Amino acid sequence: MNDLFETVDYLMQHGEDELARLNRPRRDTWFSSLRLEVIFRRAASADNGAARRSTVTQSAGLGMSVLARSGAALGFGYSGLELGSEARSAHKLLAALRAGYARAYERARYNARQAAALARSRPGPTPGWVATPSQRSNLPARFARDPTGLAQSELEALCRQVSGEIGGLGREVVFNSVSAMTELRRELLITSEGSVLAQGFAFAQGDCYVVAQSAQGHDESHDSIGQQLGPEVLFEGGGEPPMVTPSLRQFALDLAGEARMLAAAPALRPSEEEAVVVTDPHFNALVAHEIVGHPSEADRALKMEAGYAGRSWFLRSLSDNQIGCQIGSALLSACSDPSLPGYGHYAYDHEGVAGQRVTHIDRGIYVDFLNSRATAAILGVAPNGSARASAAPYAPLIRMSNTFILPGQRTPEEIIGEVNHGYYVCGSRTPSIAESRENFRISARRVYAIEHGRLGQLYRAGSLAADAKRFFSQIDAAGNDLHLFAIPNCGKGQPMQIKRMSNGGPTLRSRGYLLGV
Amino acid sequence: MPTLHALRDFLTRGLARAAREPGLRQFEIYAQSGEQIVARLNYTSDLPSRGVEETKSLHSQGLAVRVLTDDDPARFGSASRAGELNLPSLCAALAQARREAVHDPHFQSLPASRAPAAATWERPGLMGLTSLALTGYAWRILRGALDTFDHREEVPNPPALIVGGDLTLTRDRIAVAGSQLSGIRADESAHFTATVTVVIEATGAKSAASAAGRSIDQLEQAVQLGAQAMAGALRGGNGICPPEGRYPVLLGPQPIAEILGYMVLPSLSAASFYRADSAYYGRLASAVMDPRLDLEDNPRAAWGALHRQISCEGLSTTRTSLIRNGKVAGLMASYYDTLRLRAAQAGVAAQTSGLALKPNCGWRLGSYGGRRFDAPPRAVASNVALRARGGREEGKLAGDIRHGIQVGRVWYTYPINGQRAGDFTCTVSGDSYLIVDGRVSAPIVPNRLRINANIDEVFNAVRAAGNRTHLALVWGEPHVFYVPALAVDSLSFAPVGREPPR
Repeated sequence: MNDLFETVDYLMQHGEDELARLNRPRRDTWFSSLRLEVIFRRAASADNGAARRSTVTQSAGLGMSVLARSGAALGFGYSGLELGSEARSAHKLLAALRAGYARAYERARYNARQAAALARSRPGPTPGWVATPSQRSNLPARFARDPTGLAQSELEALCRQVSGEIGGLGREVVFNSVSAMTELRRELLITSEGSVLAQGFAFAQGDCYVVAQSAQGHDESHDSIGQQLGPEVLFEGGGEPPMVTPSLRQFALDLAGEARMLAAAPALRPSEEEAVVVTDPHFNALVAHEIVGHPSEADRALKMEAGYAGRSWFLRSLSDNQIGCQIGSALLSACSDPSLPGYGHYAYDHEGVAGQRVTHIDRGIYVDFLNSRATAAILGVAPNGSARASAAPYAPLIRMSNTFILPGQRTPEEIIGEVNHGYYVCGSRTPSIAESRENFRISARRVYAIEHGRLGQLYRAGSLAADAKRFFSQIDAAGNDLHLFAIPNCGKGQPMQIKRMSNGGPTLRSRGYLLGV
Repeated sequence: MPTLHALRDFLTRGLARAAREPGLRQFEIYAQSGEQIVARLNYTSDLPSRGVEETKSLHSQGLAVRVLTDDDPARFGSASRAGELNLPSLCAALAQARREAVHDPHFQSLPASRAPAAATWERPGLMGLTSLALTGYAWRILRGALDTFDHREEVPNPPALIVGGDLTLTRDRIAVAGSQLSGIRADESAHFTATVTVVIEATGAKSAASAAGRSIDQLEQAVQLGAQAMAGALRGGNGICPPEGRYPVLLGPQPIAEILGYMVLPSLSAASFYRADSAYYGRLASAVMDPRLDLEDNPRAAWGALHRQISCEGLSTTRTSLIRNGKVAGLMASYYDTLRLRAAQAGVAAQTSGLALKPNCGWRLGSYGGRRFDAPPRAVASNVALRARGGREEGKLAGDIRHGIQVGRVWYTYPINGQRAGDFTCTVSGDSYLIVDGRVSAPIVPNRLRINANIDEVFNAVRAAGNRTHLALVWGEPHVFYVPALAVDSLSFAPVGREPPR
């Protein structure tokens, strides 16, 4: 094989038989899978108008999963390996696959036996695993310009030029960094159930960080744009509703202009009482991420993340939970939809289940969790295709896709215009969330006073704090301006996996506490 | 994993090959091989669970090169190759680094050292530990927790018991060589981290315990973590929730580590001063912490769970004094950071004149904390120690608080208004108690109080500090902390759950 991407084609032909051969003598194997992924990535960055880094990388990763049975008990074992150009050698690729399988199998078998012993000493319900029908698919990546064909100098020049333009905006900008990335990725999943699923992805992402200071204060602003498209989107902007992004240049200059403005703005003082707040789509993207999406991950809800990122306020136990309960106003609906062409788009998850739209909240009533095959078995529902790893060598976790709050009927102008005294909270910055996501403090990029239906003073260093259920229950207006934003760096699990996804929402109006300096 | 000898052999051949490469003024070759094995705990009494949910591993191996080309005084390129360490991969990487090189005015040389540097070897124990043996320890940790629970006195039935966490082993080998380095610098390390969290939902209790170390003996001791966390949870049930307000606070090692990790360390890097986003920017002349406090990072400390003698830039690691007598004394820096800061405009340079600026913290770390060939070097701390002169016996610290709160564990500590503002927020997530009349009293319900504060309210308002340091870990951070408890004047607490969710 001359091209690393050809290894995917090779395993599409030979991987199924190889996996079957590995499974055959190991009769306690309940399920197994192999995942191969080849990534081509271009990246560049510039600081203060000077080139900082320019890299082109190509890699292949292999992940083997085995679920073994001992009596009624099941045990998991995984093995991940990062391969380089040797993956082009069929002999070496198969050797790595076999070694990875052996490691995963021995771990699964050991854990199954230990789990069986535990079950004997502490009888209780045994966790299961939902089988799914086999599927075959081969989906290409979507792009206008192939990331592999882009001249690296174009990407490098883009970063340098944009960074230079930001530096030229004024003396208030004391530091700026602009980076751009474009990636072509091809994934293959083969399961012992007979699924052979190949998916292609193209990613383009731009990031900008600006530090501005004035005699009045300083501001640090950071944000990202991203699309599952080719590098064309970085130069021209693009995408389709509800996820349209500007070009990297436009995006970065807007962010820098905002940072300059904020550095000269007064800091917000905390509100003594709960205030009327109108939150914009960018702010609500982080609300959707932290307060709807994460607690809707069934592994968190089923306490599997209690040692790390916490539990979920949607589920205390299988008999005491919010499913079917009113947790917000009738204006609040939210879902995850991997079929949308956002940054979290995919067709199949990493357990071979087709991704599908999952309704989390329907007119204020909690409906459903994102799940995996194992958590679906515990919840007694069908798997909904939400188990995904950040790369093939990692074990799949339950992840958001394009997770957002659904739009309403009102225009943002109407929603603001009806507020006699309140705040317009724009752009998300940093979240801090209570353990079960039942409370949050999320800082905003900009906060405007609203007086008699009009925007007034701009403040920096403002944040909104609220209890999740109270905030959701007091929503009395939802805008028609749904927008999705790329979230390039959601961390979860041990080891930490960084995942790309989209989050979004429309303009909302509710009540909360404004915190400042 | 290839042996350290194999890495050195590869670099011996690689050095000779790179020296023949035309068009290079300077070059550096980095070879790495490593793995991380994780056994993840997940036991739930009232939900189906497996006990140890899974054992998983990640193996990585590859090389990276950095070059300066001879056609420009500051033309810098880098490239990496995953997989086998061989000369064709090296040649491809060198060619690519030269091809993709950019003019970076600050990158005028690569790290240089002529000091002799012998290869450093890790103790054999953890280096040879199998994944099944590691998993066996994880099961013992779990059984320790459950045995302790079985000896409980009063817990409602069903208990809704949760035991979560992980036992993680990280081991890696690196070798670095180049035109500016004498000889081949090689290093290997292995360490484990373990965190166990116990929640008893029936009593609203949450407790956690952590350990890290470099030896099998320390791993054996870590088996106690399950029992330790369970004992904390059994002690901390049926708590109360104090009203919102300002309280004097006794901060335990984990909250101190969390605040250091997310708020202080990011501000003590040369890069943060260059970007003007350090919380200590413009404050070098004054005390930024209580004068009794010293903060240091030491990647090669005998007391540290991490032991790395060669940075990922090939330089010998040393102790870096970050805060001395409450004032900023030094900054963490990679080699590039030091070049850039020294060349920076007068304003920034004046900020940092007189500070120790040694480029010995340049680590290529992956998101999982291990050394990786494809991560660019950046300044990261390793073993972080906060020490207090005149520390008091820990049992007497509550007396310094009189009436207040002992916070043993916090969660989601982030710089809420940017790094430079120093403002942070977090929630009190367990192991916390009311202090009444100078004594530790009733437990506090986890996840019902949010702290809104500034780092100065912690480190510049110290009433007393403990005379012992304790190991503490922060989820997702590669450092290991050794910190004392601190009694501080007062912090602001806001309520979580004005209308508690069902």
